[in-house]
Parts: sequence; structure tokens; C-alpha cells
Amino acid sequence: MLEVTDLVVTYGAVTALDRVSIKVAGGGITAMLGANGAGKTTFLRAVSGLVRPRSGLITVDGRDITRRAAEEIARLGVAHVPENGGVILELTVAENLRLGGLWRGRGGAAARRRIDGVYELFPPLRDRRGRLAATLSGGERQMLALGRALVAGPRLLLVDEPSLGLAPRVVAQLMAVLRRLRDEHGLTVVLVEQNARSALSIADRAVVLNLGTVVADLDKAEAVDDRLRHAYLGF
Amino acid sequence: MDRFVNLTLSGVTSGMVFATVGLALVLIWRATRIVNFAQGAMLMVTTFLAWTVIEHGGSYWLALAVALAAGLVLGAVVERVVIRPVENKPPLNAVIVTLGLFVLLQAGAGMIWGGRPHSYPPAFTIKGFTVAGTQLQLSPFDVFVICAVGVVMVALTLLFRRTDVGLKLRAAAFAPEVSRLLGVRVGRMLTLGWALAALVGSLAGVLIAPSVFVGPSQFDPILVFGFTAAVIGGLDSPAGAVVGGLLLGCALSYVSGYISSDIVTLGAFAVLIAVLMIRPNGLFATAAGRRV
Repeated sequence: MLEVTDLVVTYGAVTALDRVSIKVAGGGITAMLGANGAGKTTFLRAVSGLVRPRSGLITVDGRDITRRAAEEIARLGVAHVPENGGVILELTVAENLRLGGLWRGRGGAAARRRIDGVYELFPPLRDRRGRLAATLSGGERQMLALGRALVAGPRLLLVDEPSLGLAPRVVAQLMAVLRRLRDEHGLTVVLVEQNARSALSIADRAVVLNLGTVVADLDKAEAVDDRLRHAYLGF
Repeated sequence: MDRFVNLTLSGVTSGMVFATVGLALVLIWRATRIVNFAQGAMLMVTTFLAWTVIEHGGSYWLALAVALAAGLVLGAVVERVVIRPVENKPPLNAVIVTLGLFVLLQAGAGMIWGGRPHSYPPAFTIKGFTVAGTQLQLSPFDVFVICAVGVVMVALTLLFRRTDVGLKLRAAAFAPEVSRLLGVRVGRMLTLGWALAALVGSLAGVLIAPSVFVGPSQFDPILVFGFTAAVIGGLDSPAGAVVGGLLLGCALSYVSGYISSDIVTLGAFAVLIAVLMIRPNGLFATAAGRRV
């Protein structure tokens, strides 16, 4: 599905990612863990085209997307939910959702069906559909961000720190939704988290970044193995 | 009382034109955070094109259509060629570029059409309606001006509020990066935004041309008044630009009617300063501090 080879991203003199290579197979949840500044967000931004890699190769389903514009990568079915969700506060909930599916063209009925699906996934959004996104709580904003990404029917979902600043109950709810999307729709998810515990609760695999390099790549069994987890993740 | 009514009527008419120019500035400011100082020169060029059509025997309506189409094209070309390279650069770059474009267009128009102002015919008579024996400062042409601006405003509102393109335009203006992640071709939206703004501006040019005449620098005061209207409204709000334009139009009309037409520009500054003292962010500023 997603194949990243020798990816190097620099910001001026700072190397944010140093020859990172990761293969993500279709239909699973890959947790990307690591401390602040490890390069997790940069990795997602490079895949979705928001930052230009210095070198390396990124392919989605064998198609080279390394230097494509973000809007064109999105149109290949790669949805990126940025940190804090990135809901557009000046638009209503319904407008945010509609925006998510616009690039698919004027498929009126299909788009409406997918938006209805999002309302079923996150019932609080349905009640607030006509309100400005600015009036939503943090948890509702994150739901809206995730729902908006789903309206386009993506094949690869990149989610950046959905748990940031949210109550544990809301985080568990979001994780349950991601798990359900994987199990029922075979969605491929790359989940960046500092909250390793909640990410590992649903992940099939954990990649650990530190200072821009991959320091561990654990499958599910290893990730839940106490000794390994303690060695790499420190808890 | 007659006098007050008449001054108000003529204030509303010119206010609608100021509002239109203000709207053009607001559209661009919202989309790109650039104040388009070349707006006045751009609408001067499109009005000159309309004047040329009329000089060659074209009808008023053909000339208007030419001006609007030229505005659409000019706005798009300006964004692509001149503005694109300075987007996401320090704001001063864009200021200098639009000022440069202003000088360029004004000088170019002088070379092509000469510096002498030409008269421009109104669509309908400018002789005021007569009600109960007194003549009003409201002519069929004024009614046309008010209606034309009203139609454009309603059309723009519908475009932004009710269509997919309008949603994309708003999204691209509010959150360009997120919009790109959602597959919105933000570059195209910026081009379209500039094209729409220039179209609105070119309408203002044709509507005001009968009273200011057509010449390379005849429209400079219109830009100042339009800018004032936009700032009164908060620079970010289309509705604010309209209210600002009407307020300014009436204020200027009262100043010239009750005091002296020599200090009209002073009146504009007085309104601007008064509004900025009471509400520094403009009348229609939404609670400041977006950016999550």
C-alpha cells in the first residue's frame, strides 16, 4: 500500500527524517510512536505532500507520489487528518463534511450517503450539523476531522495525534472507530501518537521513531510483549 | 427635509459604488491577505475598454459585458503572473507589487488612450424622478446602479453560500493547507477569487464612469473611498464592505451638501477615523484571534 524508501527531510540545517524506510501493508493499523521531535509529524506531512522531501521515494500502490502536490495526493485516496484535526472553524459542521468529498465530483447521492455514514459513526455531529465548527468541543472537532477525511472514502488514512488534549473516554471512542473502520472496511491507517498506550491498544504494528530514524519496528506480539515494549517505549 | 432626502438618495447611490469597490478589495483580502492597491487601475483599464467599444459604435450593454469579461480575465492573469510569485512571502512584497502594477497600468493606459478624460454615457437618463412637483436626486440611472450592485451582491452571496465552488473558495481562503489535504486545488481558487474581485471592480468602474469621466487617473479617488468602505466594515466582511460603503456614501453626501463639496475627502477621513476609534477592527470584525 504505502512504501517509503530512504526518505530524507530537512528543515534548513536540521535533518528531521534521516533515511526512513517503512512499508505499510494494506488493511491494518500501524502505530507510529516516538517522543516530541522524533519526526512523526514530518513523516505524515511528507507522505501527504505538505513538505518536500530532500531525497527518497514514496509510493502508494506502486505509484510514485514523492514530489506531487498535496491536493493531487489527496485525490489518490490518501487522507491526512493533521494535528488538532484542522477543522475549518468558520464553516459549519455540515460544510466541513461536504468539503471532504468535493474532489470526488458532484456525486450527490453517494456523497450524501457517506456523510450519513459519518453521522452514524459520530452521532453528536448530526445534532450540530448546522453549527459553526468553532462551537464544537475538542472531542467533537476531532470527530469532525476524522469524519471529514472519511467522506472522500480514502484508502489510506494518516492520523496525527488524535488523542491530543482529549479526555480518555473520548480517546477510547476514537480508537474504537478506527478499529471498526479497519475491521469492517479494510481501511489502512497510519496512526501517529505520543500516547503509546492507546495507540497500541488497536495497532497491528508499531514503528518507533527517534531523532528522525526508525529505531524499532515491532509486530503486534512484540509490541505487547512487556520486555520489548519496556526497552523501546519505556513503560 | 427635501434636501436631506435628496442628499441621502445620492449618498446611497454613490455608496453602492464604493461598496462594490470595497467588496472587490475584501474578496482579495480574504483570499490572499493582500490589499490590492492596483484595484483602481484595473477597473480603469476595463472601463477604458468599455469606452472604446462605445466609441466604435457598440451599445452600452455590449460595452458593459466587455468590461465585465475583461475584468474576469484581467483578475485571473494578474493573480497568475504578478501575485503568484509573492504569495506566502512577506506582506510588503505584495504591497510593492500591487503598487507597481498600479503605476504600470496607469502609465500604459495613458500611452494607449491619452491622458485626457473622456465622457461616458449612462445607461438611462440621469434626470431625477419628479415626485409631487419636486425633483428627486434619484434618476433612472441611479436606480439602475443600485439594482446592478444589488444583483451582483446577491449573486456573490449565493455563489459563496450555496455552491460547491463557493465552499471551496471559502475553505481555500480560511485554511489553505487543510483545503489542499482535502483535495481542493487552492491555486485555482485563488485565481478564481481574483477574477471575481476584478469582475466586481470592473462593474463599479462602468457604473461610476458617467460621473467621474474616463481617464488614467480619474478612478483614484474611487479606490480611496472603496478602501475606506472596506476598512469601515473590517476588511474581512463582504457585508461590512456594503454597510461601510453606504455609510461613507451618505456621510460624504451630507458633507458636500451641508458644508462644502471641497472637503469631501476630509469627510471620508473623518468617517474612517471615527469608526477606527470606536471599533479598531471595523464594524463587522468577528472576534479576533482565529488560528487554533
